[in-house]
Amino acid sequence: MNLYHDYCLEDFVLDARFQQWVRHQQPEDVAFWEGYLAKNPHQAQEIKQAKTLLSSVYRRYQSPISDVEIQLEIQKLVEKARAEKEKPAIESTDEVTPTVRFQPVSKWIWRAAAVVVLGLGIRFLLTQSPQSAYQQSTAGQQLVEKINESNSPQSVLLSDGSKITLQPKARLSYPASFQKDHRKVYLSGVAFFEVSKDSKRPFLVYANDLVTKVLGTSFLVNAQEGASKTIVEVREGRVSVFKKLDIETQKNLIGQESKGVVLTANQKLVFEPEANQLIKTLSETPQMVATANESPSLSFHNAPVSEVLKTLEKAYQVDILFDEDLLSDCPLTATLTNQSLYEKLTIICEAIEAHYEVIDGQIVVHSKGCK
Amino acid sequence: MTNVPNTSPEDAHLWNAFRAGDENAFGQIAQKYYRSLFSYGAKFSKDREFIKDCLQDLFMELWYKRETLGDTDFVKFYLLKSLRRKIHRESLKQQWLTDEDELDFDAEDLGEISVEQQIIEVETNQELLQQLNRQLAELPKRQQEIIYLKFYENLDNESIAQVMSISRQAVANLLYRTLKELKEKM
Repeated sequence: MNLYHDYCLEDFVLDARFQQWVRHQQPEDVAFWEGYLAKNPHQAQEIKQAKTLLSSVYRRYQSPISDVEIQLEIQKLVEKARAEKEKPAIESTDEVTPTVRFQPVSKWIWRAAAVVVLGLGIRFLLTQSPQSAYQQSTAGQQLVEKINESNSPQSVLLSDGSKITLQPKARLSYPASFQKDHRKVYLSGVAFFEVSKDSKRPFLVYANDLVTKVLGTSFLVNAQEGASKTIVEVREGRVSVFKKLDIETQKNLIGQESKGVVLTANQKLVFEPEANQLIKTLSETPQMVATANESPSLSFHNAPVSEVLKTLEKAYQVDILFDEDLLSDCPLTATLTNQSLYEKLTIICEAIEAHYEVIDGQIVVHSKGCK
Repeated sequence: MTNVPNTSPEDAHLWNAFRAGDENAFGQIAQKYYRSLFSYGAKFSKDREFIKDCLQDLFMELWYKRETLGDTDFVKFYLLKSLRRKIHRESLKQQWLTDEDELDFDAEDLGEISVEQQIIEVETNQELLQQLNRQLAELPKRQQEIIYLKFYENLDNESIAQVMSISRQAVANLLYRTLKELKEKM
């Protein structure tokens, strides 16, 4: 009948009802436990100790945050969730044809997109929430927007034949048809670009604080809103990256690369707005660049290391700096087909007691030679 | 002793609204767990802004995943576990910890006592309370974390085991040992 009759201290502190009494002091719990105590004086000592023990736990671990602070954080969350939800009605047409081509249907979609962008603008005026770079750049323009709301990458084919693969949650805005002298798109999130060649119309990607300019190549842009870094990584070809502030006047941009950073295959640029610095480095996973003629043989038998490094340089189209005289005396026998570039370099360096480092997007091999 | 259930009809209703994309329901759910999570996170880092950032990320991940989420029963446990993992990962990234390090569970002495606490303490022996506080502080980190999750977050042993990535038996043993130790010193 009496559930608590044999309880000792451990049992009491682990009992939910007992805990509730000590923690919240609700009248019904107080009444229950005081009544119990009166009827069971033999447990008074255990109960008192259990209560003290729990009190000290609740006191020691109480939460050091005020209601106001919590409220502010919750507001931020709700605003972010709302912003993420603002998906243009255009999506419903996109779902039928995940790859959007523009010429034939452009008129109708154009109008829909304009309405959506306008709608966003008004909403932001009302709520006065801070706009992302993406929202600022696209606001008021007549653009088509594509958002990947699925869990897998989705491709968008643009009117110029360029293909853009959007990672989940990425959003891309672009005009239904490009202007005569440039092709401009806006990105928020992560996307891989395969840009069709058109030397007369540079392709410009606006993403966070960076603008990436290309003529025709493939590369990845990682520009998540609110992230501390924006990253541009080149697979093939050559791109120039600018800080958006530096090229606000558009005439400067076309045909002038003075303030930009040039990236070639397997190079990566990281921009951290807080440091306001463009840092050039190598991709974490450099890929061999496919060439039309042949894939290079990476099996070496007693080959001079200088030659091995030149072969790698060509295969990955990265710059490898080394002392050619010294390394031509170092023979290497190895099959370097299946490793990553960095693993290959480690194997080579171990064989000849050298080491390498990545400086400014190039690989530098330090060695004392093998004589 | 069971986990305090959080599946009242209102909760289930709220949860469904959130899964359907209602950002206000999302806000209410975040509100419901925020204090608890912040409190837990604050035991691993004294940097309040860092904990807040982790929680923003954590909840936004929950929002993105809303359509694939299951029932509400495990929300708190899931969030506590995810938060612990996130703090560990971020600490590695910021190089506060190296790979071999465990997270350090450590409560700060708060000095100020909340009104809620004052009411409780009127009847209890202040001296004993102070003494217990010192003893709690001297417990090994893992034992403190178990005590915290058990009494402050009301998790059951199975959930504690999963949050801390140790076995259920280890939780039970440590909990038993801790209570015994504390009792002996009273």
